Parts: sequence; structure tokens; C-alpha cells
Amino acid sequence: MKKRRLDFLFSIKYILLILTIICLVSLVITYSRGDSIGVYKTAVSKVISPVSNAITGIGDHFSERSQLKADKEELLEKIERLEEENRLLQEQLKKYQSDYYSLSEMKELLNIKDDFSNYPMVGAKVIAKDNGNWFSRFTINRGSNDGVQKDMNVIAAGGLAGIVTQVGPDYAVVTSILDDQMNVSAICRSSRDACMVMGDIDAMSEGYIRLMYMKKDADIREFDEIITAPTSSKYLPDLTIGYAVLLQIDPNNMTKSGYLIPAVDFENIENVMVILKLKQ
Amino acid sequence: MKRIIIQGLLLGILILLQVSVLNRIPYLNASPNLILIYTFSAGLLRGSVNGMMTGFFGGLIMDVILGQYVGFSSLIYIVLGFLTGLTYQRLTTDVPLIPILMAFFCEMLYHMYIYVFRFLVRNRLNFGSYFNNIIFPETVITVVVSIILFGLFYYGNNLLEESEKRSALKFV
Repeated sequence: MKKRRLDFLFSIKYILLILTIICLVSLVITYSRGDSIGVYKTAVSKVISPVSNAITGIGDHFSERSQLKADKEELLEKIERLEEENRLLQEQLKKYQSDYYSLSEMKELLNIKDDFSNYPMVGAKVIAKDNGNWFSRFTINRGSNDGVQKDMNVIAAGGLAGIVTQVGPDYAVVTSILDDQMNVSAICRSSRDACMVMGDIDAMSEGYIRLMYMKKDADIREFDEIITAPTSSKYLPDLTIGYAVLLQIDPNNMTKSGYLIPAVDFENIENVMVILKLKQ
Repeated sequence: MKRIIIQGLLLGILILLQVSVLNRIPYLNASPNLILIYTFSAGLLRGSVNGMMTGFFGGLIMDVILGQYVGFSSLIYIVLGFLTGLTYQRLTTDVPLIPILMAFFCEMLYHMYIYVFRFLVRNRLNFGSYFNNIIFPETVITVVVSIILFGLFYYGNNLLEESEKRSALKFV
């Protein structure tokens, strides 16, 4: 009698049912709260993030080693080239420095705050990446303990990389702007014409992002810099997103659309900065 | 008990490989889905219960690390573990054709699930290009890797079974 009851408990269909219900319940909870559940989060941050950190460290070590082995002649040539570039840049820097002083004086006079450089930021390392191609997300090694919150903007060398979508104690998940669900309202830096940057899988596989809903007569040209708009609800203004290419007028003859070359190299993204300031 | 510890450790290692090593391989625009391979292998070699448990924990941890809705990929891995477990001891497992067919079948189900519930519901209809750019490359590489990995799992499972038999004899 007892044995039969145990058999029922462990019968396959029963287990399938229980597991499915657990999954559905946690799906509904995370979907409705838009964030993962506390128990899971602490479990992950206690076990996965230190180990993953270590693995990334080992990987970095090896990639550095392999770089060291590069050809000596090539390196010497590179040094020469860089030295020349350095000289040129120093000259330019002197010029820009004087420009900068006059600019900051003028800004003081006009009472404009230069807020992008004043944002508090924290550097972070990418410790895990979604390597299916359906989504474009990565996990970084900073979390709520470092002041990271949901909806904070993440930048990498060059410009906007994504936005924080989930936060744990010492990890956070960032959805990059390439992801199919991402929409960023943007403007052209030179002409201030509005447009919309939309992640799209087809474009993503070519390394582009879609650029949509520009007015037909908007003064946006090829390779114009596209930046986040001040009207955006989640993104801080004046972050570079990328450069417009392949613009053409839509069949409806009212709007223009095209593609954007992202300013960030998403293939080899390793170090990012989280801006510790939410858009009000 | 020994089996549970070994399988848990193996799952942990595979997950870490999946999220932090595989995406560092250059010149590959798709990477194999190790959790999927492990799930169907567990189902084939140990039956539905083992397959479902493997899929459940593997999917759950992946969901939390990568910020998916928790339980989303867990659900499809459970189903895959269950379905492949139905063939337990009905199919011979020492032919390379079996992991190839299983990997293909599981990848197709997995991608259809993601497409329908995350993309079709948002009115993304160009399935053809998704198939070319995402599903096909990932299926190919998963099938190739599954031949090697399944072989390793097969021998590991044989070793474990032998040691279990030996300890059972000792106990008697």
C-alpha cells in the first residue's frame, strides 16, 4: 500500500506537472514584477558571479598573452606610427585646450551646466553573455551594492551600449540597444531632427540598428551623428548612439528610414560604465 | 547520491562554459547550446525524470543569469527532457546518428518556442530571415558539438553505472 503511494508520487507525469507549475508561477511573478525573484538572485550572486569573474579573468590573461606574442617588427612599426600620431594629437590638444577654456568661460557666462561629464559613474566588467542570437544581453559584475538600479544607462567606449533591466546584489543584466525589443528616441546632433532607433534582429546580424520615423525633409545625412533625445523617458540626453547610413525615403513618401552603425563595438564588449543617475 | 553530485557539478561547469567561454570564440556567429545537449543526453541515457530535472535546473539558472523571465527557458528544457526520456531504453544509444537526430529535433522545438512566444506575439513575421540568421547556424553547430559531448556523457554514464553496480554488490 505504502509503496504504491510512493510510486504515484514519483511517477513521471506527476513530476512533469509539478515542474511545469513551478516554472509557470515564477514566470508570472517575474513578468508581473518585471524583475527576478529575491531567492534566485542571491543564489546566483553567491555562486555564479565570483566564478564567472574568475573565468573572465583567466580569459583576459590568455588573450593578453596571445597579444604579446605578436610579431616584433609589426610592433615596432606600430610604435613609430603611434608616435607620429601622438605628436599630431598633442598639437591638436593644445589647440582644443585653449578652445575649451574659452568655451567653459562662455558657458559660465551663459549659465549652462555641462552635465554629461558630471554624472557619477561606475566601471563594470562583462561577466556573462547570452550567446544565442535571439537576444542581445549581457551580465555585468556590479549590482545594487554598488548603487546600480534598474533603467540606468550603460555606456562603453564610444557611446550608449544599453540599459540595466535587472539588478541583483552584485550583478546586473544589461539589455543592449541592438535587442529586438529596444526603442530609443533620438535626434541628429547637427540638425536636431527627431528619429527613432529600433533594435532589429535582421539588422543586428549585419551589425546595424534600424533608424526609423525621420521626417522626409529632415536634414539628416549619411554619417551624421545620432544622439539620445532630451525627450526620451529613460535615456539621458546627448549620449552618442551611432552614425546614420543607407537612408532612403519610405514607400509612404512621408518619412525617411535607414540604418545606424552603432558607436559601440558590441562583438568585443568587455568593459562598460554604468551612469549612476536615473533620468527624471 | 554520487550521481546527483556529479550531475550537479557537470551542469554548473556547462553553464559557466556557456555564458563566459563560448562567446569568446572568434569567427563563429553562433554558439552551441550546451544545456540543451546535456538535457537531451540525460533524457536519453537516464530517462524522463533525470532529463526533466536537468532541464529544470539548467534552464532556471540560465534564466536568472541572463535576465530572461525566470522559468521561460526552463519550461522548454523540461518538455525536451520529458520527450527525449520517453525513448529511454527503447532506442540504442551507441550510434552517433541518435545524438544527431535528437540535437536537431530539440533545437527545432527550442527555437520554435522562442520564436512563437517572444517574437510572433510581437508581430514579427519574417520567419525566413530568422531561420537563416539564427536558427540554422545554431542548429548546425549544436549538432556537431552534440556528437562529441554525447559521446563523453555516454562513457561517463557507463562508468557511473558500473561503479553503482559494484557498490550495490558490496552492500549486499
